[in-house]
Amino acid sequence: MNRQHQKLTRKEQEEQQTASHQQSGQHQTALEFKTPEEALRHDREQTSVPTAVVERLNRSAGDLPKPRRSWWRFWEQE
Amino acid sequence: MPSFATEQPVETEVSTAPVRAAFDSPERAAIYEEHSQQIYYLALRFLGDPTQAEDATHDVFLKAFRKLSDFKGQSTLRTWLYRITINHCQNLRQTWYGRNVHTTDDDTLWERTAGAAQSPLRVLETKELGERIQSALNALPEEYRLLLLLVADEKLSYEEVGSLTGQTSDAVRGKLHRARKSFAAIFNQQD
Repeated sequence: MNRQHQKLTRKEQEEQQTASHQQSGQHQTALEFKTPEEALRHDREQTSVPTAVVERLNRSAGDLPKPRRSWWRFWEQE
Repeated sequence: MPSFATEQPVETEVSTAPVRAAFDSPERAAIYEEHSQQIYYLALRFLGDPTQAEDATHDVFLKAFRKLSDFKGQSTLRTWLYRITINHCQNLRQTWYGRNVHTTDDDTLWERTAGAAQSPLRVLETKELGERIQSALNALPEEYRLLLLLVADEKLSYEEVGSLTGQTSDAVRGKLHRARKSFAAIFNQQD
């Protein structure tokens, strides 16, 4: 009787632990942001530019004369 | 409520090596590598349509490459690209969205959402985040949507955001406060 009670208690503990793990699992995937900007930045980092854009762009820009100067690159790095 | 599409872009792995290899010009490759994610993201969330955002990103960079010699360095290259993107996207919206989409005006939105904006923004999964962000942005007036998207770029100052949206930095701060509250309230109402 007493052993059966111990078994039940252990089973309850295991169930509680499982529930706790599941909850902590949910917390790990849950995201929380203090401001809209934070949420937008995270969303932007998760968003990839479709690879097709590069291919299209290179085809479209193929006829354009190549840039003569690259001074803006030095200016950008300042 | 506006009737924008909330279709999400398909996530694809992109490495920088194919980008460099794809361009004939290293200058163009460098510009694209440095700024394409911000430009695509602005177009995506401003227009709310991945296909249109893809087209817009192509068109914006092509325009920029054509006019690169006109760039005088009076602003940063990022700001210059944003200006082209905003003009392009606003033109698109005026031609198509203007005829098909009716957004809620600012006062109605404010009355409906005030008081529900104090909680932090929570989502269970990253996948859900994009959809909820798009829905919240779609419900905002265009001006608020643009402000939030620009301010989310850490490289832009309030002065630059003001310059891009045709107002002072003080006006940006004032409107941003309302834009944040409206966004948060709509975002949290989606639970």
